[in-house]
Amino acid sequence: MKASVLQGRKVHGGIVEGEALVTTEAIGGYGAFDLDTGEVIEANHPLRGASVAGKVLVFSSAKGSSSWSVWHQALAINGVAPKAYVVRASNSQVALGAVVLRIPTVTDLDRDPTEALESGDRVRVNGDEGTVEILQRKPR
Amino acid sequence: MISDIPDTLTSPRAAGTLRLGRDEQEMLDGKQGPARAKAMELLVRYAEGLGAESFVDTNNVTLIAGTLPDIAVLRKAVPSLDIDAVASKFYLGSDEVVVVDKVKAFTTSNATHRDQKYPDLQRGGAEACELMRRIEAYLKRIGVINLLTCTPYQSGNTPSKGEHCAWIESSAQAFCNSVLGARTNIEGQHSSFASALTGKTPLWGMHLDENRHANVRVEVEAQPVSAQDWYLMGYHFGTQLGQDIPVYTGVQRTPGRYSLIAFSAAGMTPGSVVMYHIIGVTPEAATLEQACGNRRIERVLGYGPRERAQVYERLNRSDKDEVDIVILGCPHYGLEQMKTVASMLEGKRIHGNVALYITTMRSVKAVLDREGYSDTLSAAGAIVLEDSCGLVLNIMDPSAVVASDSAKMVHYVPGTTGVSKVWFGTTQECVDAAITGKWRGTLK
Repeated sequence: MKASVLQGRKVHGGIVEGEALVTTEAIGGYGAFDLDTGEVIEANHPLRGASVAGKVLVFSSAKGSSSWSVWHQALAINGVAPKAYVVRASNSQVALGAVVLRIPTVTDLDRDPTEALESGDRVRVNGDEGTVEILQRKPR
Repeated sequence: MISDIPDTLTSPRAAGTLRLGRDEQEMLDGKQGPARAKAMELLVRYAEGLGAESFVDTNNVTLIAGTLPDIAVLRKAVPSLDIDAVASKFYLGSDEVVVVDKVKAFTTSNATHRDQKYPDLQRGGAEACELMRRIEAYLKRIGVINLLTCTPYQSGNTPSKGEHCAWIESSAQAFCNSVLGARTNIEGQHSSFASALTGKTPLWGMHLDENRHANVRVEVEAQPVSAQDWYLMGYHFGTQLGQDIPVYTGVQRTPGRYSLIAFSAAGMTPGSVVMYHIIGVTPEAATLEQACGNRRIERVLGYGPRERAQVYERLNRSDKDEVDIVILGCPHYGLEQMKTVASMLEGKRIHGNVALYITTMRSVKAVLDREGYSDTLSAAGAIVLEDSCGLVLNIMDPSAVVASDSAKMVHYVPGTTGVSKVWFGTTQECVDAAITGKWRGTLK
């Protein structure tokens, strides 16, 4: 396995390329986003002010209200949802969100993706194979 | 719980591969109609995403049907707002419109449906009220009971110990697992609706004995007494635990039922504590050994006055003594809390600049009406909302200061209403603020 590939398991299939938006924190749904822009608005969240629109969202896990999939679906309807989820430790909220949004989603990777990836990295998420390939590092 | 697993599923199977029972395959194949086929298809993809190997029967489901994006978003997906199309898209994630006949499982619905008597007070106004009225009628049509509460266990849906449920609503999920000893994962809108239609939920996570045991021990030094204390401790560990399951040791005073509701809500607000044990209090924790089972304690954490003070500071985010809005009843107040607040307000009148909202469920409201407590509350100027939620209140002024006795409410108010100044205190402090218009809460 190449060093630039993280190997995990599929939560939901599909393949996309995109820019990573990374947080070591958990991601909520209810009250977490401006649903029109995809901007994170949750108080005290490290991603506050950043938009998840069109990003490969890399995060530790899902948290908060069980209406998680409702708000992520609303982001999708408004065209500002993430295009893939890469999750350190998936749970039922992430799995359901992935199923409703039908986006590539991987978890249980051989390296912690929230440490191995940085916001701005270009990655390819292969949900079917359960992999994340780092295509281009953000210039450091 | 082997007795609950259908015979067809007990045959040897490859690890990590989802196996379907005969009735599950029939539903997936459309032999029980297109709606159940959509529901089963969603559940199969969901179960695969979880890594579940089979399903388990459930006859206890709760829905969060009133929790929907604003009507503008609904219209983008379903311009006609046809109710079957809305349900297909927003409850089953299906672009194809499927008409549901009846749910298979006993199913009740959650709050957020709006109190039809106060359209102007709640987000979306009359239009949202009308949509919720149609959703209520839709749920009735398909055999769902409109309890319209986030605490169904206070109102006729109390699962038995060990019962397999598919529940939404974070505070209720933690209460269901931890306090009642019933079993639910953190289900969402779409999975719970699919479970209602099929009577199935993935046999995964909290449904399995081995996943319910504690792996973190918390030594409680700062003894929780009031519901506020339980909120503080629960919220603190909500931020610390991730998906770990805590066992709390050293709790000397048995919490009342509202403290356990508060504790269940708190751990699920900044985190995902869907299962906790308190030695000598919760049903799967008579002893430390029982709470831990075969799992090893990986971390030991403490809770003392310093942690308690820190989380109190974190929750109180106002620098103004004035209070404009007081919100009580999150999660929904039951009879005891309603009676307590009525006695605090008896013969008094709230301040002219303050609005006091108390949310509860229709069944409790019906009893309060007959017992005279609704009159007491109304004479004091309080507005009791049924079927609804403080977080759908239409707060026009973002500079308003909100006070609540719920850590969950003060956590969610900024993200959902635009208000940034919040106070968190005891029920008495909140009622006092409603009467005086001033915040005088302190950590005692």
